Amino acid sequence: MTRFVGVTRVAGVTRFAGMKDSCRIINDGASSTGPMNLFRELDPRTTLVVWGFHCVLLASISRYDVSKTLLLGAFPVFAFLAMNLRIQPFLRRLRIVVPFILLMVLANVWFDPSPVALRGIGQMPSGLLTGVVLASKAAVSILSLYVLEQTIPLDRLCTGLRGLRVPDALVDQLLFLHRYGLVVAAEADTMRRARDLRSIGKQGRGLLETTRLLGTFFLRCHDRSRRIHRSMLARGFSGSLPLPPSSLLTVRDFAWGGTLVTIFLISRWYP
Amino acid sequence: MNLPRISLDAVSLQYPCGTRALHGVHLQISAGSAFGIVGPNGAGKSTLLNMMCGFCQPTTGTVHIGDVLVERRSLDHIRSLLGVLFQHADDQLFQATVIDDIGFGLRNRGIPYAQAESQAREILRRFDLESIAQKSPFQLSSGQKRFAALCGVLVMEPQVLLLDEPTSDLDPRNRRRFLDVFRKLSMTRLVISHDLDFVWDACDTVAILDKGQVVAQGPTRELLQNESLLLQHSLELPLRLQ
Ligand SMILES: Nc1ncnc2c1ncn2[C@@H]1O[C@H](COP(=O)(O)OP(=O)(O)O)[C@@H](O)[C@H]1O
Ligand SMILES: [Mg+2]
Repeated sequence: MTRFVGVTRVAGVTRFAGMKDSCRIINDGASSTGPMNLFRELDPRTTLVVWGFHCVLLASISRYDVSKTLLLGAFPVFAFLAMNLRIQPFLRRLRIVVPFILLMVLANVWFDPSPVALRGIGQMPSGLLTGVVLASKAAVSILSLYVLEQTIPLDRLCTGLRGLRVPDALVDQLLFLHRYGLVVAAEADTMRRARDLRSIGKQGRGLLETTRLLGTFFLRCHDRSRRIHRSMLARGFSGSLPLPPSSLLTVRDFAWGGTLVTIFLISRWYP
Repeated sequence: MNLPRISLDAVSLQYPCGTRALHGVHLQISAGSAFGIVGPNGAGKSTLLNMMCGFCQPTTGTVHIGDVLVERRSLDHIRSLLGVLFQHADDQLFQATVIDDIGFGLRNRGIPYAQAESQAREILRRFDLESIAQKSPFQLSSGQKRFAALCGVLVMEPQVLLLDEPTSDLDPRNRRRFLDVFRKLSMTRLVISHDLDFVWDACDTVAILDKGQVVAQGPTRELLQNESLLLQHSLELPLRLQ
């Protein structure tokens, strides 16, 4: 990583100071060059099936069972470490949901104070126990979602979804959401910079100004998305985004998919 | 190949909010020529272009590309003839990588993914831009964006090329390069610009649009030397003549 004044280069992506928001999105997908590329090389359908299976099993664990939650949680942690992903984006996401998780834990303790006995630890309120399980499930889900989106770029994910016979309308929505998400982020960033450059101290950053800015922001996004849509139409877009065709599943897909699913099953139902 | 001409006949357009963007526009752009439309900001230039692509319908009058009337029913056909370079290259590049973006139009035509990609790669090579193939459009300079967008349009081999302010974000060197590329093209070309120097070099015929009306039309080298005419319509002589 080379450092210039106000400019950092990370894995081929130039970031300018103050351009964080729109650059972050690009970085998230491009920054991880880990020793293990297995998940990136598998067919997206395999990855999706394995991931979906993991989610279902995780959700099915009883709310008193910390150990199984952690055992299943080991999978995304392992993938995270093996792929050498950056931790900051994950922590940022976690930070958004932490207040809700804490609230849930507190509510659990409040409504369910009856004690349960735990091997090796002694007694604790059963509400705390279920709270901890819920919190770990949430953290594991967020981590595995993060690993998933780092593993497959959205285009391949959508190819996978199409391969799994998910209706085109839904897949297109996902792709559009992503495209417009990038546009919206870039637009918000330009406006924020324009405001920051022209406001002095707290002046010009009050609630009223920000509210007005929000109104303009929506108009600009609308205008921008219309222009993008027009440019798509001009190039023959007719309502459905073409994606790379699915290739055939290989032996490796079955082998790895099978192995992972078996490991999950064992972790879920070990005695 | 039989290139189409463009004809606008008594075209007027009023936006729903009441703004009259165009009134009584007559234009004949002959097949295979390079035609410039110049005019101050707000003259209705972009509106004119949007109308040719069928993004808005004239309130009165007709637009023909070749023999085809631009109307709702003919849009698919019209758009298969047109290549449009919009004012902001950012609006045109929206796929994850440049190469994907250039292949977008081809894939919309049903060309298989791999073939679209190899055609896209080929055109990038012709423009000496192979190095940006795998980059995200967000990472490009504005000159690179402009050329990437142009590649995405030219790869579809349009018979008519519409350019909206193509040089507004180019530095002198890229501007020259753009001009060189432009001159080698042979399809019917319409350039909308207030870069009169570019129009001087690029176009055979030019029309001046002001307040929604064509106020003058003629050979580029005659019209753009007429200082008083240009001043009347908030334009200035090309820099080289000053
Ligand atoms: N979507 C729109 N709705 C209403 N008025 C518009 C719209 N787009 C442009 N206009 C108005 O139409 C006139 C011509 O605009 P435009 O074609 O963008 O001019 P130019 O490209 O020559 O600068 C301007 O007065 C502008 O305010
Ligand atoms: Mg314009």
